[in-house]
Amino acid sequence: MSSESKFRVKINELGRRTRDLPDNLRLAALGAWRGRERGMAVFAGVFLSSLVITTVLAYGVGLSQAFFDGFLEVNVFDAKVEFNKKPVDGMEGWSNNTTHLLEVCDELTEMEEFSDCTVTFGKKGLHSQIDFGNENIFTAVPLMMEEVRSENQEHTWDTEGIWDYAYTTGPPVAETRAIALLGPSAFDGELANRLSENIINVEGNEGVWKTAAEVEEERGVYIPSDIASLSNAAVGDSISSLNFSYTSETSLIPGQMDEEDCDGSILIIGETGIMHCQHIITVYNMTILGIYEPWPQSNPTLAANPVFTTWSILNESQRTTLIDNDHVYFGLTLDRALLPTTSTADAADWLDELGRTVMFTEDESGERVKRTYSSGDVEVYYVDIVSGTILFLNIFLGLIQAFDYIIMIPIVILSLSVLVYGLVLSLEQRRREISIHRVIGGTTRGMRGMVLLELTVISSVAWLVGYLLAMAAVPVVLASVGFMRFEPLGFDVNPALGFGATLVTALITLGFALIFGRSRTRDFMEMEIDEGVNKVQKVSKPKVWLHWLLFLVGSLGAIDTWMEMNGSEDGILTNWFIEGMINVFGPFMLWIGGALLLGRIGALGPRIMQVVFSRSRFLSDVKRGLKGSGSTESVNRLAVIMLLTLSIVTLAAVQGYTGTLVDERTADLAVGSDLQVVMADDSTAAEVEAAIAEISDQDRVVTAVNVPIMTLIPEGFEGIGVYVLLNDSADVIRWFPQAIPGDDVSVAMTSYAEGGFTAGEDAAYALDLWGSGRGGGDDSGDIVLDSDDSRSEVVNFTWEDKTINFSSMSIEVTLHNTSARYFGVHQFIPGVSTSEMSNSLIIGESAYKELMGLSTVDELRATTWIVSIDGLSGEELKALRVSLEADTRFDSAQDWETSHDEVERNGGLIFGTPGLLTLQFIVASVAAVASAFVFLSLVLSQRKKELAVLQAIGASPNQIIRLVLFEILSIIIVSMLLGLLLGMGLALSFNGLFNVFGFIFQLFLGGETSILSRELVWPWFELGVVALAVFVAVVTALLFTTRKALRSDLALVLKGE
Amino acid sequence: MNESKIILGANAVYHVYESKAEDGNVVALRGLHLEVREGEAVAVVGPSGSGKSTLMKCLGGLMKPSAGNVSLDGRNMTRLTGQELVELRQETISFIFQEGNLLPHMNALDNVAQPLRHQGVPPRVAKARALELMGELGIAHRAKGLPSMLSGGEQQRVAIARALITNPRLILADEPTGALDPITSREVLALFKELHEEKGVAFLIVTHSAEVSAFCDRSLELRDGRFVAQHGADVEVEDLSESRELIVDDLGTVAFPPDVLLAMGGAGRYTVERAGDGSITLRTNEGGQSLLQSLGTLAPQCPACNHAYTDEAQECPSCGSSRPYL
Repeated sequence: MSSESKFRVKINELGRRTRDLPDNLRLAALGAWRGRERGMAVFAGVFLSSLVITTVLAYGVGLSQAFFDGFLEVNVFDAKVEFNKKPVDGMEGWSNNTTHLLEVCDELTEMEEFSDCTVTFGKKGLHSQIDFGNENIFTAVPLMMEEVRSENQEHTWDTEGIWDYAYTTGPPVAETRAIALLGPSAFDGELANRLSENIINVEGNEGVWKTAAEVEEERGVYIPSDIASLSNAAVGDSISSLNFSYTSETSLIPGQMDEEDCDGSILIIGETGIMHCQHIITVYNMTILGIYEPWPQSNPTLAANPVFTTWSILNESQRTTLIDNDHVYFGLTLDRALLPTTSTADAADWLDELGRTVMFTEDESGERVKRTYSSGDVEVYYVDIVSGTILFLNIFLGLIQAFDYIIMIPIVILSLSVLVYGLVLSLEQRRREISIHRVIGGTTRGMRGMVLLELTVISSVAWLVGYLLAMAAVPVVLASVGFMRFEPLGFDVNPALGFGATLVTALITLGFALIFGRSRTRDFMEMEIDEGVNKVQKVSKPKVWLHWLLFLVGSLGAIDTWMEMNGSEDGILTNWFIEGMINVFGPFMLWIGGALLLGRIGALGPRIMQVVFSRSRFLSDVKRGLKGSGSTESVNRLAVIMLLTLSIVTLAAVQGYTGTLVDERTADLAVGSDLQVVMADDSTAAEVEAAIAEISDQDRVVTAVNVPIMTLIPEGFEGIGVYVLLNDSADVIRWFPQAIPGDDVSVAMTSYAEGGFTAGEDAAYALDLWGSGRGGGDDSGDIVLDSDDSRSEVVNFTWEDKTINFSSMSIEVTLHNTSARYFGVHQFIPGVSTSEMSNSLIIGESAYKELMGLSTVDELRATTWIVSIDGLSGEELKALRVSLEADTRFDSAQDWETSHDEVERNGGLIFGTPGLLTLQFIVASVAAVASAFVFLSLVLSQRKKELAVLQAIGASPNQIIRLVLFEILSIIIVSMLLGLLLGMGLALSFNGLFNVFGFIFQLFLGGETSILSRELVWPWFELGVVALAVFVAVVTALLFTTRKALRSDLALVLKGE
Repeated sequence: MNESKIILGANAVYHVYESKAEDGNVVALRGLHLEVREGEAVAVVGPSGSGKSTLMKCLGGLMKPSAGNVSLDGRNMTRLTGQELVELRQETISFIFQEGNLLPHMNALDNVAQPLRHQGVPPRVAKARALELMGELGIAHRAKGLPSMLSGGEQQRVAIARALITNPRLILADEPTGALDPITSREVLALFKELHEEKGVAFLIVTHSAEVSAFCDRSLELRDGRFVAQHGADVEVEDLSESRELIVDDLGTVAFPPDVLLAMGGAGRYTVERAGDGSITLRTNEGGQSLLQSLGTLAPQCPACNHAYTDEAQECPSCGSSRPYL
C-alpha cells in the first residue's frame, strides 16, 4: 500500500470514528449505567483518587488563602502612599496644604480598588522600594511618644521605660512607642471598622471607636493595653498634656551630628548609631476614649501599635511643620474582595499592577509618565504593605505542601490500587459480553474501543464527582483545628483550582485509569481471542524477595522509633544520615512491602480460622467445602485492599490523635494551666484568686499557684537552682507523663509531697546521681525509683537565709537544713521556662516548709502565677485574659486557648496536618467500608457458579451462607487484624518522618527545638468503630449477595457457556 | 445441488483441550470431515459431549483447531489472521444460540444493529435496517426493550434478527429452538425455512429436535468428535438406526455407533468375511462373546428424564444422556 493510500485509509477511519462517536458514547453511557455493578469498583477507584488528589491540591490553594487572609487580618492599612520625594523647600510634587492632601485621598478612593483613605501624621516616608539598598528604611522614624501628664494621682505615666518599645519586624529604626495622628476619615467607614475591632469593651473599660466629630470634640486618645496596664489608665481618664517628638534632621553616620546642627535634642538609635534631631510638640487636655489590644507586629513600613489620636488636636502650623518634615502619609485600605486569592502569585501581580496605576499614567502619546494628584500639585510613591510577605508565605507554604503531599501518598496509592483491582475484576465480568461481540463480528480493536469508551465515561463521571466533592471538602479540612475537630475559620476561603491544576488532577486520575485500562484490556482481549489455541496467560511470578526487602528495611524505622519510645537513647539506627533516609522512605517501604506480604497471609485467613475452629461443631458439616478456598486471586486482592485501607485508617487515627495531643501539650507547656498571669506587684495566692474571680465575675473556683525558685547547697557540692512544687500544683498544673519520672503523674506527685526530689539530667550529672545518661548503658530511664532502690539516694541540703543587718551593714547568714530522697529524672514543669530545667532540682512542699521554717505557704508572695479556673474554656477564657490584661493589677496574662490556637494555626508542629489526617482517616474508613462492599459483590458474583454447584449437590442455603460467611469473614478479620498491625508499625515509622519535617520547619522558622517528644497515642475506640463498620458492611454485603446468588436460577447458572 | 459451491468445508479437523487433570488432555474433535454447500441445510445430531460446541466454534472461525483446516467460502480460515478472519466472518456467517445470547446492556434495537456497526456501517443506517428487519420478524414494538424484559421467544427472534442483518450466506445455529415452547419454535423454523428457500441461506444446525432436522436436507451423526453416520431428511432423532448411513472417510476410518456395536456383539476382534460390491461382512473372532455384555444389564429407565427404555438403545432418546449399567 502506498503511503498516500495508507493516509487516505487513516483519514477515512478518523472520519468514521467521528461520525460514530455520538452513538458510541450513548451506548457506552447506557452500558456503564446498566452494568453499574461491575463498574462500581472502577468508579470507586477513580473517585477516590480524584477526591484525594484534588483535595490536596485545592488544600494548598486554600492554605495560602487562609494564611493570606490571616495575614491581612492583622493589617489596618493595606498600603501607604507618600510623597514621591522628600519634601524639601522649593521642590515640586508635594504640598503642605492639608486641603490639597485631603483631595489626594479623595482621588485615590475614587479608584475602585481602594475602599478608604486617611491622611495620617506618623512615620516618615520611604520614597523608594523596600530593600536594603534604600537607606530610608533605616531612617524613616515614627513620631515618638515622650511624656504624658495627668492630674490623677493614681496614674503612673512616669513609670520608667513606659515608652520603650521593641519593634520586632524590619530593621532597627526606633526603640520608642509611636503615635499616629489620624485624619477624620479614619473615624468612619472601613478604617473605623478595622480600628474598632481591637478596642477592648468590657465592664469598667467601655472603650468605643467614636466618630470624627466626637473625637475632635473630646480630644480623644486610644492607647494600647500594655501602656494602659503600665500607666494604670482607664477609659474616660483625662490627660492634662501629651508630648511627642518629630525628627527634622538625620545623620546616617554615627557621631556626625552635634549641637550646632540641631536646635532640638539629639536622639541616637542604639543598634545602628543613627542620629536624629528631635523636636517636641505638646498637646493639652486629652481624654482616653479607648484601650485596644495590640495587633501582632507585621509589616515594618508602619510603626506597630502606636498611640492613636486625631490630627484635629494640632493647629495648622503644627501640621505644616510635620508635613515639611515628611511625617505625613496616606493610609489606604483595599477592597479585599477584589484581591485575587487563587494564588499568592496572582495577588502579587495584581498588587504590582495597582501600584503602577497609582504612580503612573500614560500621556497622549502613550508614554508612561508620573501620575499627579490634587490638580497636578502632588506626586506620590506607593508602598505596598500586603505583598511584602508574599515571598515568605510562598516558601513557607511550599514546605508545608511538600509535607502534606508526602503524607497523602498512602491514600493516593490506596485509591489507585482500588482502581487497578476494580478494573481487573470488571474486565473479568465482561468475559461473556466480549464473546458475544466476537460472535457477531466484533474486531479486537473495536471491542477494545468499546471497553475503553465505557471506562472513559465511568471515570469521567467519577473524576467529576470526586473533584466537586473535594472542592466542598477543602473548607472543612482547612477548618480542622485538631484531629476530627473543627472550628469555623473566621474568614472565607474559596479554594478554586486554576485550569492547569484541574487539568493535572484529570490527567493523573483519568490518565492512569485509561492507560492501565488500555493495557489490561489488550491483554485480556488477546487471551480471550486466542482461547483454545492453548495460549496460557503468562503470569510473571511476584518478586517475593523484593517485598521482603522493602518490608525489612521499612521495619527498621518502626523498630527504631519503638526503641526510642521505650527508653533507648538512639534506637538501632545511630548514623543520622541513614536514620534520616529511613525516616523519609521507610514508611512507604514498610507499607508496600508489608501489604504485599501480609496480604498473602490474609488470603490464608480461612485456613488459619479453620485451625482455630477445627474442634467446634460450627464447621463440622461444611469443612469439606472449605478445602482449597482462599487460593483465588480475587480473594487475595480483597485481602490486600482490606490491609491497605485498615493500615491507613490506623495510621491516620494514631498520628492524628498524637498530633492533636502534641499541640495540646505544647500549649500546656507554655501556659501551665488555664491561665498564667504576671501581677503588677508581689501578691499572695489569695489576692490573685480574688482579683481574677472579681474580674471574671462568675462563681467559679479559681486556684493560683506559684513555683518558687531558690538556691540550695547539696552536701558536698556547689549550690544549685531548685524549683519548689507546692502541693496545689499537683491539681493546678496540667501535668503529663513526659514531664516527670515514670508514667504515673500521681505517683510522682505523691513522691514530691513525701519529701522526694528529682533532678534534670545535667543536675543529676553534677550531683553524681543515677539518670544523667552519661554513665553509659543503664544510666538513664523514665522511671520512679523506690526508696529501697540502690540508685535512689538521700541527699542533705542547706539553704543560706541571708538577711541584711542595717545597723552593722553586714549580711547575716542563717543556715537551714533538710534532707530529701532522690527518685528520678524530670524533664520540665508545664508553665515554667524550660531553659534551666535540665540543671535544676525539683523539691516538694514539705521540704520547702522545713527549710523556711513555715507552717503554711499561704503567705507566699510572687508576681508570676499559674491559675486554673474551674470549667472555663474557649472564648470565655480568651475574653477573661483580655480583661485581665487591661486591668491595672495585672502586668500581663496568657491563656491556654490563645496559646493553643497559635500552636495550631502557626504550626507548633505543622499547620494543617490534623486536617489532612482527618481527611485521610475519613476517606480510608469510607474506602474500607465501600471496597469491602463492592469487591465482595464482584467476588461473589464470580463464584455464583461454585455456589450453584454446591446447592445442586445438596448443600442447604444455610450451609452455603455459613460457608461463604466463614470464608470471607475469616479473610476480612485476618486482613483487618494484620492491617491494624501494619498501621501501628506504619504510625511508628511515620513518627520519624514527622520528626524530620518538624526539624526542617524549626530551622526555617528559627524557633526553638521542641522538647516535647512525639509519643504515640493509640485511639482504640475510633479504630474499633471503623473495624465494626467494615465488619457490618461486609456481613450485609455477604448476606445480600449470597442470597441473590442462591436465588438465581440454578440451571441457568450451571449451564454457562 | 451437488454442483453448487462448497460454502463450508472441514478437512481432518482435530481439536485437543489441554488439561492438567489426571485423565490428561481431552480430545474433542478427532479427524472430522464436513462439506456444506451453498443453500444447503445440514443438521448435526449427537449425544452430549460429542463435541458439538467445539465443532461450532471451529467451523465458525471463533477458535483455531489444533490440526486440520476449515475453509469458508473457499478460503482457508486456519491460515487467516485477525482482521482478515473477522472480515470474512462478518461477510459470510452468523450464529444463533439456544439462549438468545443478547448483549445484556443494550436494548433490542441496538443488539440487532450491533453487527452492522462492527462492520463500520453508520449508526443511523444500521438502526434503520435493524428496525426494518425487526418489523419483518414482528418484534418492532419491542425495539426499546432490554433483553431481560423480553420473553424467551422475543429474545430468540431478536437474536435471529441480529443474525440476519448482515445478510449471511451461512447460519450456524446451536439448538436454536431448544429453549422455546413448541409454538414459538415452529414459528422460528418457518422463518428458517423461508430464508432457506427464498434467500438460499445455508444452515448448519446442531439439534435434538426431529422437527428441526426434518427441515434440513440431511443430518450428520456426531459421536466422539467424528461424524459416524449420515441420515436423510426424514431422520428419526429418537431412533437414528433407522435412517443411518455409516460414513467411511478418505482414510478408511469408520466408527460404529454404540447401538450398531452392541448389535454386532460389542468391541473385539473381527474378521472380514467378505468385502466387495459396496458391502462388507464382519465376524467376531470370540465366539459371539460380546465384551459389552459382561459389563452387566442396562438400566431400564433413564436416570435424568425417567424415560423408560423399550429397546437396547445406549442413549436416551428424549434427553440424550448415556444409558448406565446397573
